[in-house]
Amino acid sequence: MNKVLLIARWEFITTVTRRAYIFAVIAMPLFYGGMIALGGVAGRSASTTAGRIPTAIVDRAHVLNLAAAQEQASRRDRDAAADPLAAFANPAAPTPVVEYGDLDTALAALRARTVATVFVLDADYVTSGGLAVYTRDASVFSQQADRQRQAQIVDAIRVGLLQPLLGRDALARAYAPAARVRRLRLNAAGAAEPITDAAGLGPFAGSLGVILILTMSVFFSAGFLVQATIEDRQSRMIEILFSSVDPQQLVMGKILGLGGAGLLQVAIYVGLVIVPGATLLALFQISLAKLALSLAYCAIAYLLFACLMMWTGMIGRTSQESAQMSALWMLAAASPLFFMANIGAAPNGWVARTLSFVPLTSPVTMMLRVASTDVPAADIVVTLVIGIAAIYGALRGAARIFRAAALMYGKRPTLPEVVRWLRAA
Amino acid sequence: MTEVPIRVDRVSKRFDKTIALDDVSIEIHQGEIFGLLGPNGAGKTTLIRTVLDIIKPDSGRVEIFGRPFRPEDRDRLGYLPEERGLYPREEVGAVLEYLGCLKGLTAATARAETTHWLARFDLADAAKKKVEQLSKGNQQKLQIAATLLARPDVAILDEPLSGLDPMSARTVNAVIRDCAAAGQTMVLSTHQMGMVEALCTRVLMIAHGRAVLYGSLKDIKREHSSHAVRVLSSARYEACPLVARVDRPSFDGQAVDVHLLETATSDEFLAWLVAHQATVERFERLSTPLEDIFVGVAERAVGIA
Repeated sequence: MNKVLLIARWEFITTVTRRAYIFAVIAMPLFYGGMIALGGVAGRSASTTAGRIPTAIVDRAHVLNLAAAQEQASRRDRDAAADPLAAFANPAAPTPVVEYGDLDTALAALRARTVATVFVLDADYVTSGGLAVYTRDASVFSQQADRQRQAQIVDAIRVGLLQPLLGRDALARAYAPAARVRRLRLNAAGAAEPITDAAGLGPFAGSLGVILILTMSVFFSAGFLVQATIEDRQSRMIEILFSSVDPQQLVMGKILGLGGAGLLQVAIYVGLVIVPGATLLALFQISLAKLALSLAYCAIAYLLFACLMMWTGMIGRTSQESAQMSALWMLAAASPLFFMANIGAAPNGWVARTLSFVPLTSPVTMMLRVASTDVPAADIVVTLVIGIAAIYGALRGAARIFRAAALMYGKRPTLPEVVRWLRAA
Repeated sequence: MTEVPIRVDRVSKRFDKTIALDDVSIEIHQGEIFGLLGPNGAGKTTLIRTVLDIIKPDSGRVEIFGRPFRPEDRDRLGYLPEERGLYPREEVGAVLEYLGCLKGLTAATARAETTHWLARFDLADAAKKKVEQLSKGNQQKLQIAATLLARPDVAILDEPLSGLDPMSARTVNAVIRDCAAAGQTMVLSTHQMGMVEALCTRVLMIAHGRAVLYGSLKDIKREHSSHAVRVLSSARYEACPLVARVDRPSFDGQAVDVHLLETATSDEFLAWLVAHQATVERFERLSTPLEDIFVGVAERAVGIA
């Protein structure tokens, strides 16, 4: 068997059979998944319970018509169901609203916790706009729920004020002016085409999910590489291995084997915790061509950062030191995510294109661009070439540093030494 | 196989301001046990790494099996480095098989050789144990087994006896002899002069990167033997113009140690005894222990440097 594959197989098997790996792969996602599920169930239960507690209103101005408001809210929700954006808006279910004749009775109900909030419209509300809100809890965590209740009351006030003035349809437009939105975009040919969930937002969200999963696999695998490199140094195996294989074979074998271990970890995470990949693809209808392109950029990212991680694994004196240094590469790899809003808004703009042509930021930027739009073929070709060239350079550098630094037991090379090795590569 | 397994021709290597190797030339022949000697930091490890193509020389030429190093030569070279270890958390048998496969053995051959070498080093029952469960000495034997597993044409062993008890050391010595007898070239880098005297036919001693002694061990010992002979005869040694001093060791009967002048040889002294019709019952050149030669040469090299 090819020596690279032999090393890859050894690294893969010895990594995936370690207790720490098995614990990380199986037990941790089960634990965190369980905790998240428990938290979700508890949160949902608390939210449902809170949502069931009515909102009290004391209408001293006599402007409210709660039945008409309820009808308008239902009509708006029906109309908005066709809007792809609405699928992501996830509006909270309305809470019941109970009208009280006087403030004292409403406050008594608030004290008794039979209502969550009391809204009081001043008698001169139409001219003054005065509105008082009574609540038991004014913490940061209750503000979101209070705002939702307030929005519901405001909608009801709007219906009450406009109903006498407008016809049925005009009232519906005034209540929800953007309930029936048609969204279109210009395609590559410049023609307008409707954005549906499958053609626009879904794939971006889906691709973003894939990007996150792929990025996770890069970081997991890179972490294994740093750890394995340090272990080889500590167990003093490297010189023995160098007598059997050349440094490039050793580096490639490790990258392949530990990359496989990282990929397996992510695959198991996806399988165990998130959702089976097929469901994800079906749910968001991710374009297979874009998925293939994303995978290509992921492979470039992994190979490039794996080589760089091996540098840091060899240069650090301890595992902590190497981990700290490797964080720099992690930051560089993830830095395009800081520009996600910009890249999403202008995927073929100058920021996105500039980041695409820098080897360290290219893979993640390109994955984001591919997820957002149709990227010009020239950009794809150029970035793939840049990526492959960067991998070649990093691999040669890694092999050189591996060879030189591996023989410096207990000593850390200086920066000039590292530069000299790289120049010699 | 007629090619010279290792030929080093005027090799020099410098690390920053340190000269690790300075114009070193050697030839190591097939089937011999070659000793590589030198004080700590003399350049032995650099020479070995240069031979194995782990580091490149600044100048000079290294030939392996009669030509410049080729990647496939790694399969014919075994190396036990001084800074060594094995995967501590893996099974002994699996580690040996893996290292055997990296040397080009098939999986089946690597398995068979693993069984053979574990038995040879009395570690047959350790195949399923983790490396870290073995004693330090047994780990050392395991590392030697890993080096010899693929039956390399040349095996370079750096301090092979370190950490071994006398019984294990004897086993290792026997293994080295057997390998050489089978035609394998064995290179021993060691400070254990007893081992060198017992096993090696030729040696190279390096000091400060320079070759200060190189050749047949017998010739070197003869060349560096003291000008002294142990004699039991009827002669009066004080009368001999070749004699510098006479010592009478109490433990050796009536024999005396006769120290000759620097300019005299033992042959001339024997001729003098015969010429003076002395009855010679015993005449023995006193050889200098290799350790003394080593220390003397090393001290001189330090003085020169």
